[in-house]
Amino acid sequence: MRTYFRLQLKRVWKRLPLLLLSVTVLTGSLLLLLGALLRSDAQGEEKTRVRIAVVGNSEESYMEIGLVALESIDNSRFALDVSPMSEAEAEAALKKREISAYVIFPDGFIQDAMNGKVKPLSYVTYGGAGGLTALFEREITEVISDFALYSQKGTYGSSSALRETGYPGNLSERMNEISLRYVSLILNRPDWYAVTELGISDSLGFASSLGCGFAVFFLFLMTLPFALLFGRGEDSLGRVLAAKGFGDVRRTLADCGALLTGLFSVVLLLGGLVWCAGIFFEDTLSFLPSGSELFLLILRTLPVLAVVAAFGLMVFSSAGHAVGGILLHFLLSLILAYVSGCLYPAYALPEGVQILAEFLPTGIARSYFAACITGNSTLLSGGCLLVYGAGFFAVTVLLRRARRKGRG
Amino acid sequence: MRIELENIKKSFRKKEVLKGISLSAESGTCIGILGGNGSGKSTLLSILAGVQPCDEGRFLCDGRDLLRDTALRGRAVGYVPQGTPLMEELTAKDNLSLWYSKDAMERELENGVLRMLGVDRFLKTTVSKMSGGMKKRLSIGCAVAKRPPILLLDEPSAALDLECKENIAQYLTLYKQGGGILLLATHDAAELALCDQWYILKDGLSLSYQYDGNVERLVKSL
Repeated sequence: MRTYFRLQLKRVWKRLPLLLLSVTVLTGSLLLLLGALLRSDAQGEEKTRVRIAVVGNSEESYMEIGLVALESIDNSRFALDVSPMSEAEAEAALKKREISAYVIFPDGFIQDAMNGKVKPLSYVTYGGAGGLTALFEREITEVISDFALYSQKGTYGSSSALRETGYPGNLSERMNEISLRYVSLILNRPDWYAVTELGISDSLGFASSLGCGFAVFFLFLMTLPFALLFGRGEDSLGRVLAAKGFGDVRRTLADCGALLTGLFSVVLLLGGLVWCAGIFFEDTLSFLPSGSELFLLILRTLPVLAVVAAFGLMVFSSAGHAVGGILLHFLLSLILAYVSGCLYPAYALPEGVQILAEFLPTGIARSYFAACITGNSTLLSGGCLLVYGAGFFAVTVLLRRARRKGRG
Repeated sequence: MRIELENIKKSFRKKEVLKGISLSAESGTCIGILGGNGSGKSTLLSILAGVQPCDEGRFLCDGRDLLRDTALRGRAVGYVPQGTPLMEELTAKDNLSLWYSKDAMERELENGVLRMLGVDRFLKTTVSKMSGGMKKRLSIGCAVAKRPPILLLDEPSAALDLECKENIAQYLTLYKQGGGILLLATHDAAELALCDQWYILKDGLSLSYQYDGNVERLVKSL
């Protein structure tokens, strides 16, 4: 078995130069794509500033403070662009989609708020049925409600009470301070980001989540050049080996080991290239992990590679010939990757498919990578991957045995 | 040494391919297995090699059933299937290393079976760059690595040139003269001439046949 493994490994290695070349091109493209995604994501954040018009007496001092506070809510990503307008102007702007909504502050709103009374605000929007804009609008509406109605009501009510009881000194200044502190401590909370990106993947950003998905798809495709080595062309050799008592289990184990070792060496080499690229293009590829983190990440690809190797062997063993094996493998990988949200966010797919995605090997592999990055436990996903690997291995053995015992 | 095939039966689903094959041979004998396409020649050889199980029957070698005694079968039986049981990307030497120890390979290359088959001349050639004849000679070289006394060959000369056929025939003659037992599934007239006994597989049964060089008569019998 050792000699067979060594020879299979030699065969795998013989295919590595070609594989490395294609993989390097693919990795380069992937890195550029990720870089571009991250940049567009950052630019997109700028573009996602939601413009809101405020209709009402904006020159009133408390209103002015309120507007400044609103504009500073979460100043990195979802900051509001608040513009005072007349109702006619706001309506026209909304129709032209220059603003996302406008808020009408009723007459005497501030005065009533200072007296502890609530006069409801009116929100006017074009009300998209779904999508992120609608989500933002709902979020913003809630924020404004929270901010203006509940918190400020209490703050201004307290202020009135203090005035009535003759509280001396810099009351207005203190009020402003309380308001701004509220904005910075409560509304501008760090988990805002996670809330808006829920449904993409395990608290990972869009680009990172997609990066994990692409990596899984990419690893699955890496076995394609080995179709000839493990396909039906090997039937004769398998027969002779079986005749000499080297059975299907041992043979598949050696094949799987050789393929896994080959894939891991490719990943290791790629990791080295990525690390070098990270050093030379520090600015563009600043999102890459450091050397030791990268090495750890490479080591942690092993469970995924085990599944990839076993899956590749299974598909190649089931296909009629090498070309069929390559096509079948590519199609299956593509379908699995797409359905499990590796190529497109899973939340955009029907609910049933989303549930299914969590149980597919590609979906589990993506979650595993995500957990590796976020530092969450990889025990469950890693375990599931190994179970899948064992399953694919068993099917490969059965397929090979059935074929060997077939006619001819 | 004596081998006996006793009532070998094999079915694929409902199709009974071998309905009870029986034959026997002594040391230094070559048995030609003849038959049309799909008659079960390859199936019979792969059963004897242990590649696939039979439904019933025994393959006795001096009274020991090789179908059950896998360790003995591994030592006693060499098998060359129809395809190329070689690793295409590797050299002849690499392929031989799967079956030979380093010392044994050197010995056989120097003055043994590998020299006889001419494998020493293309030892460093990659299999994918070899001709059909070279591949077949290498396959035979691999199959006889442990000097098995029984050699099963499935159409060894198919699609080979005359020179190569001659080379293989010479080796098989020597193998037979050395006391080995050959079971040859073949359509080739030259190989048929090597044989001492002939059996035609027809309708799942083996019929003894006396080949006299008349191919026309043989074709009619198949």
